[in-house]
Amino acid sequence: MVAGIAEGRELGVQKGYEIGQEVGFYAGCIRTWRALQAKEPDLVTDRMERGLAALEEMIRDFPLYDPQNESLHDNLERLRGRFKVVASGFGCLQDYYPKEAAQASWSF
Amino acid sequence: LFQPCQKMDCLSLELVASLAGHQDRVWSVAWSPKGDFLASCSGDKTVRIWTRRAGATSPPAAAAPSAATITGNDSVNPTTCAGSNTIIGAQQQWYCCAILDQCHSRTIRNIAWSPNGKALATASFDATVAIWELAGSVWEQVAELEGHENEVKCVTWNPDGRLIATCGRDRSVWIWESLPGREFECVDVKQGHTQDVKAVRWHPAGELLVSASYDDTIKLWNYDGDEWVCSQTLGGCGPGSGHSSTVWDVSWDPDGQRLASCSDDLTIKLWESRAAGAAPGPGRLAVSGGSGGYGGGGGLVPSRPDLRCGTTLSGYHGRTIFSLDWGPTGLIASGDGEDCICVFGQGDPEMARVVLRASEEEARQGPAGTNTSSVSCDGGDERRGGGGGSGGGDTTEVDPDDGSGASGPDADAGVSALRDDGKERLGKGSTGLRPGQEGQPWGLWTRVQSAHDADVNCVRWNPAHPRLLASCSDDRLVKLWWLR
Repeated sequence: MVAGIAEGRELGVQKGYEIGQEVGFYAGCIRTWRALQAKEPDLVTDRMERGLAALEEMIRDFPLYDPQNESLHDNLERLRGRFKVVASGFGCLQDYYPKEAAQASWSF
Repeated sequence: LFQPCQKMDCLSLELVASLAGHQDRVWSVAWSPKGDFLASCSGDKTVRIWTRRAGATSPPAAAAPSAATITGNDSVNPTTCAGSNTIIGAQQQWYCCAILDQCHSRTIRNIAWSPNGKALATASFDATVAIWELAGSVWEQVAELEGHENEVKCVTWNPDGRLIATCGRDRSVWIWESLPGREFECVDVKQGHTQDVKAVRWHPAGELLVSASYDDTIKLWNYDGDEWVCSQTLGGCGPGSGHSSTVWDVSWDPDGQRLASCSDDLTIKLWESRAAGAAPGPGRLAVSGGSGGYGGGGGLVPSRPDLRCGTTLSGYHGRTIFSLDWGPTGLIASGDGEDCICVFGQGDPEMARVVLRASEEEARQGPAGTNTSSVSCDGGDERRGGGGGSGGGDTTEVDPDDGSGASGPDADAGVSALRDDGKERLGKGSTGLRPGQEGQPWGLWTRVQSAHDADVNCVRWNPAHPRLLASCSDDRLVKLWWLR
């Protein structure tokens, strides 16, 4: 029981860190894109503007300090998806998780 | 273990061509919208396009079937089909008319034609999707869609050609918009599946996207004005609710009312709208007369799907069912890991055989002089006014090799007289040959054992010649079959 609590805390800290890191990464990207947009407004199309605005809202509303929030994982998934759309629009797809080496792995 | 084929000798799939050329397993086949070209893609990182020689008719074979001679790019002499039936007996001279290569750095897993037949999309394990267009007589790559983190498993154009959906091992479904100047923009990325997504397919009305996954579920996606949302998930909530293993492929029926799915759990499931279940008459789909659109009269509304599992076909496959296709005839073909191809239909296969024979008779006896004897590379099947169907249907089943050039209203009248109900069909493009009887129980109508020498990866019915079926396999071959 005691060991279980210790393991749980360790896992929780790790997962929490990962989630915080991911959301923080997206927030940083948006800040950078907004800065670029300020210098070069034409960089951003209407669709991308909508995407950026949606991302900002999602990050603002993200329950970072409420780990028990039921919709936390759904929100994270929506955020991840929306981030990819915007990053794709900018043509700079930086996966948060490093791309796996393109080996000849079996796939079906 | 296996449920027997009902009246096994009523119908059969006759091999009409065996196409060799790929240097590695063939993953997928796709017919061009007019049914005049077949594209195949392979682990050899190429796409091959196959077509039939224009004006290729030869006298029906009199001898017993002989082994197919297989050569490389040259025209293939297919298995000759014994018998007196003119349509089937004519040899079909299929050959490889184009090879698309030098593009992807890994296996090409799936291909899709644009609805106007002028573009091809290829999905590859190299995590990209390439768009090709025909410039004169040469296919060239005009765009590349990057974004998936790893292997892309499937690509599909929506019915109006504006959108492309892709899915892959990174568990996501991507929706892209086609813009002027061969530009493609990512519209949305859907996470939601918890595992590898194997297939994506659009509903014929276009507003609904279906995805099938290694996570045992099928998801349905609709556009809410801002983004795509998952409006329904089939399965994944414990036993009895859906497939119990990977869902490999999905296919809509010709009317866009029912969805078929096949799985590693050895079953095929048919999903229908809950509203349809409430329609009068046992097992009948609600049919509205002549509205020509989808979603009228109590059937499935694509923008608000409410599917439930109506039928499960089990006991027919001993290994994973990798592919299925619900053809324009209303019949379902499947290919599995036991090298078999099955065809399922509703009702009595004896009656179906009568219907098919009637259609062959009409085709033979039709007015001479109306020419459909050749398949030109522009897509030569003629379109006649559909007989007994609702307004949108305009494709009649015509085999170019029969030389008599008939069918059309006469054949359709003959066919619809044999249907158990003369009701108009809901939906577009759904008239023509329907050997099955709606509302009747499903059964296995024919099975080809050892259709290939290895796993059958994909089966697809020809959209214009609905008795022609293409299949491909790990054995590196593409095969063409005729339902008789």
